Amino acid sequence: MATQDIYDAVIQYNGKGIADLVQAELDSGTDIEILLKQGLISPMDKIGQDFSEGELFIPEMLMAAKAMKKGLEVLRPHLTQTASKPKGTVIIGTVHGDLHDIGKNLVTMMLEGAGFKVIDLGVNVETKKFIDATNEHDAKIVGLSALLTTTMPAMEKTVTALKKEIPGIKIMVGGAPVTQSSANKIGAEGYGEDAPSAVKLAREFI
Amino acid sequence: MMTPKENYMAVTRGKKPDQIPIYATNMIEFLHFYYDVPLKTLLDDPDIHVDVTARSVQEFGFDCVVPGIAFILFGCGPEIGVQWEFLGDNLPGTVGGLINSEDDISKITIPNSPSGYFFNYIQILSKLNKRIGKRVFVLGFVLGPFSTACFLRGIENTMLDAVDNVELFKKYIPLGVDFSIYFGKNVLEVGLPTCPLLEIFVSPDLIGSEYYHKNVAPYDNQVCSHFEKAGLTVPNTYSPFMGNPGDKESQRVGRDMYDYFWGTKESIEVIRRAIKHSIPGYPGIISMSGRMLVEWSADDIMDFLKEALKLLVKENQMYPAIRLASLQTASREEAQDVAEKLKMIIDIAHSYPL
Repeated sequence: MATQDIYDAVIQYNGKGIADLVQAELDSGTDIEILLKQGLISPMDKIGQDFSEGELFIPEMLMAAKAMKKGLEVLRPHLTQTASKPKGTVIIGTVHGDLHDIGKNLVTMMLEGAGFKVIDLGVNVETKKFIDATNEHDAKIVGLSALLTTTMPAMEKTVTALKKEIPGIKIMVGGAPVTQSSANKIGAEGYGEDAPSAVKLAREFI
Repeated sequence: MMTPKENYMAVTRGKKPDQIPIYATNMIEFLHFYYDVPLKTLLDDPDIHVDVTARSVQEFGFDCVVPGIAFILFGCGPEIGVQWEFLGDNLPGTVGGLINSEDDISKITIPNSPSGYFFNYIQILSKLNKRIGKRVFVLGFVLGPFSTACFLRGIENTMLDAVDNVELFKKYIPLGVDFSIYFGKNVLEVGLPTCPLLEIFVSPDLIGSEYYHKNVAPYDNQVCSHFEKAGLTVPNTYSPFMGNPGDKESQRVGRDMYDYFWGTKESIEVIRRAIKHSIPGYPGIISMSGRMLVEWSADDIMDFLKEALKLLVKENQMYPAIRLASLQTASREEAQDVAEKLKMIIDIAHSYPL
């Protein structure tokens, strides 16, 4: 029942009490895996689904992600001590020349909410930094974001270099100037129209 | 024979123009590549911005043009303390707002007169209007209070504050209103035929109707009514797309209309759905995005345009404008390809029998 309270806190964007709820559940011995999946990942799936269906919007998604993160912070130290492993590691960043980050931040939050470990490299990220981080963290997925049309060539350059340096890497791209067709053209494996579809792609890639 | 401006004004009033007008907006990247002018120059030098815009009007035969679509120009530039960074030959992005805590709010003052990039924006509008405004419809925007707040405080912070830190939001959003009135006063002084309120971060894809009516609309209305009292009009062009709170049907129609006007999902079906409704002051529209112009083949674009014109003009007796919603290209080659397509579009539009 208390796991349901955590679920409800995320769904209702109630970040205030969620840390206490998670701590109380941990103290009472609830399985960490259950807490993570049913209390934090499951409501974020629902939030993502509602966003895709036009029932929720960016402010609500931000609120839910903020609540989820507060719960996750309490859980995180315990996750490393158990068999519970992240679903996979995703390297994410806004491409070189571009300083816009709201789309990237939303994808980061939703991926974390779906149980992925996300290494956020920030904005204006050079190709080499993507390659180094992917190697360092042994990541299998890279997410590239862009808002400016003029930074599309930088995105293409990064995709090409990543594929050359790290064979087998799965790359997903997104942002205002990006489409499925442009993603195909530059050789990315996936195009995410919004944050929930980026999560869907990442799940497919794992 | 109507001028291009008269053609455009005729369709906004639902009247028959001499020819289908073309409305071009959001084209700074296209101008940059097509005329080979650095983006920063287009922001820094109003004379050059005006020159290339006027050249594009001459070369392509636009009837309505919206110059200077770059966020930094709208008033929240470095001149008021918002931090921007230029990286390479790209449009700049913000790297820091002004409001990090409540104490910061009282330190922000409304300038007495435009300076910096906002001064450049006013110069672009004014000089372009003087140069082509008698024949061509030139339109300028007034940055709205919510978007202004987003620049002052950061987008995510502002979106969250409105629901999560309401007390702080209520303290800085009046500043957004005051800034927006200041922007409006300066843009209106240029003497353009219309200067709509621009809420960059508001669309039915980004925020919901309830949020809009609670956290955005009241402040937009304060700006619009401020000018209304002085006998001036700053139309709120976003509100029709947001629907009514609690009314799912009106919200669905608003989203349909948004897709239709902004060319976010070009299809005959989108047009067919949207023309069941109308928004006062808006012409019938055939919106074509930069994405469409870049990715669709010339044949597919022409087929779409002919079918859309047949639907609107022949079957529904409407006189539409063709709205080039975002002439954004990523390279010189793309810009040249888009230019060829534009010429074909404009040939069809201007020769379409009415």
